[in-house]
Amino acid sequence: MKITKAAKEYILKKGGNIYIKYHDIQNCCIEPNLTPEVFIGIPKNQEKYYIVGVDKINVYVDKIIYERELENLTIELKSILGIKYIAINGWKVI
Amino acid sequence: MSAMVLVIIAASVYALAYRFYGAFIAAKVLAFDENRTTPAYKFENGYDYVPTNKWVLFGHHFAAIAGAGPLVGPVLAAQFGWLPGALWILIGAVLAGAVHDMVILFASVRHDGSSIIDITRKEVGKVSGVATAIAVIFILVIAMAGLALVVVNALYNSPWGTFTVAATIPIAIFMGIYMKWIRPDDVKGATIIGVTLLILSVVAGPYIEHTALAHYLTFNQKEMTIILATYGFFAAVLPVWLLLVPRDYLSTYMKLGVMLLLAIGVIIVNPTIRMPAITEFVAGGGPIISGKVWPYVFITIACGALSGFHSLVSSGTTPKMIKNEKDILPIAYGAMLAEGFVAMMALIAATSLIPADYFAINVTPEVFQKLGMKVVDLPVLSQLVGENVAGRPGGAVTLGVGMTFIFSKIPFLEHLGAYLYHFVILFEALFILTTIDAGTRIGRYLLQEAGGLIYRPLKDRNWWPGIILTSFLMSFAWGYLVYGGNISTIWPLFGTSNQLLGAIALALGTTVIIKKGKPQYMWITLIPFIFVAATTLYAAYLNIVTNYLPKGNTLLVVLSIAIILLTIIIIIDSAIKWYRWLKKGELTKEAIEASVFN
Repeated sequence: MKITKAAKEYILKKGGNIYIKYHDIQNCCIEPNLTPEVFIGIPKNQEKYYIVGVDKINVYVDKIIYERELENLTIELKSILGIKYIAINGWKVI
Repeated sequence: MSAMVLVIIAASVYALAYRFYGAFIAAKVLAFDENRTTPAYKFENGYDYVPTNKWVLFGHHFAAIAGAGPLVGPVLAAQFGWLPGALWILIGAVLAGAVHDMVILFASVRHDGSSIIDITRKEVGKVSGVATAIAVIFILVIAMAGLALVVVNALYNSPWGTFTVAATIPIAIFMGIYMKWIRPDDVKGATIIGVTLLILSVVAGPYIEHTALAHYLTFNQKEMTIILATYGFFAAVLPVWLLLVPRDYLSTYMKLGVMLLLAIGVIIVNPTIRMPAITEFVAGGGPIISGKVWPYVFITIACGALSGFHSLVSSGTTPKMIKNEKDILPIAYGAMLAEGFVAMMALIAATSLIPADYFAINVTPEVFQKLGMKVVDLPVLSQLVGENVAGRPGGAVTLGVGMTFIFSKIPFLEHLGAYLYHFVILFEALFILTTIDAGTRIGRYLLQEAGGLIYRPLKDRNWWPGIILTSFLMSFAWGYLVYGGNISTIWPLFGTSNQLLGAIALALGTTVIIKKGKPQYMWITLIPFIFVAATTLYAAYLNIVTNYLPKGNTLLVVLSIAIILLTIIIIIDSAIKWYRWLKKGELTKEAIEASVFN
């Protein structure tokens, strides 16, 4: 997993912990494979996550996501209307 | 005829089929190995790979396969009379649908929980794998259009219905915020709050209807289509935790509640079936579905008899949770039969209405006038449910009216008809909107992937111009289909694409049986495959020449041809492989022994 320089600085400023959450949606007609979401902080239910260290940052990863799937992911810093947030890129839908 | 007769026949046929046919396939054909380690143990991670109690997993699988489909299709097919639909639901579920679900679940379990696309690529070849992937994307757009149309027809000119459904958006957003910031991960608390607010929104409906707000909540079909497509756009752009996830929690509970309510109502009230066994429309010219009973009943009723979409669930989350291979029988075969039972209940609800009333609901007033029928109970039914229900095709309204009619026979419930009706409409709309939310978003991802090959920044999932453009294109695509279509054009396309996916999955099932070294049993999937492929390809051809071309609907012609070609590619590719393996002896004994299916 990669964390961009700007994202790294932002995360470290916010405490150095992030978590990646996968949403399992049940549905008729489609079996959605949605891109996971990334948030600043430590997740509430830590037992549902495993920890990976990336550039001095603790990344709590939803256990539904394989470690090998992390290879393609990049955490980036984005902003909308001046509000900064982190986002994930590189998730494979198929 | 008493509805109880159909209930008893369905229960008996399904019980016998489960006990004998399902058990035969499990023991002799697929030969489930109860000592084999399943992916749930092999990759156990406490989250998606979780060994799960078979009855819990049965509930999970059933909730994932059963949605609006088993309720809407049988209602529309009731135009042919109750018999064709009932037979297809009985025979189709036993010989095609349940077999399809079980073989694909087995294949996915043996492939460590892989998707149907991956399994096809590995077992049949790259050509079929790519064709399956493209077919799945096309089918996604068509599915959203078909389902959105049901919502449009249920909500136009209905301020009460529109209010209750619109209220689910702030309710879901509140739940999302509650689970994110107020009480993180308190799913139970959020669900209790959400369900309570939903019920309140249904109760508040009649009051809203008599206020100035009603004017702002009354839309015609075209306006409603634009609103839904716009909603789909925002749902694809907003974070998942904010709208999609909480809405999913709400719809799952409501889905199970409504299905249970329907079964209880039919069994307690035992309504009389008023629709004849066969109507004149079996020969074609029906006002809802214009084609003949063959092939159209087989594409109108998909979920409940055979549904290709189930292959996505059977190769999705369920295989990762199977504790023991012998659980595949109750979970896949059993859940499909349970869905068949729900479809039968929906058919009963529709056919218990007086035929003229049924047709008045399911066709436009102009078409109804040409039928020369006279409504009987419709004014009373409209009063009972608090809406003018005439000219609202799509199945949801008929089901709501049928259920309300059945429940009005129970003492103390006769005055709650309007609330019950709106609750059923809310359920269908809520469930369909969840599909639209997720489907538009997935479509957006796929467009971004594909667009990234032409213009690299598009591939960036967080690049706002790209997000906005692809979300717009996706919601525009299905919105355009709904805007220019109607139930007679879109539902057949929806049914066709679903059944062709079913045919693709049954072809894969045949490959599985051959590679297992049991070609003597390949008829189990081959016969339903040939029937479904032939029937559906013929229906797709008829759709083009008798429905879309005369109406000048080029887009639907192109979509139909694309799906037909993809299916033919997969069928030919599979057939060539079967020929080589069986006739040319290219499938060696060693290869069979080394196969994951052994």
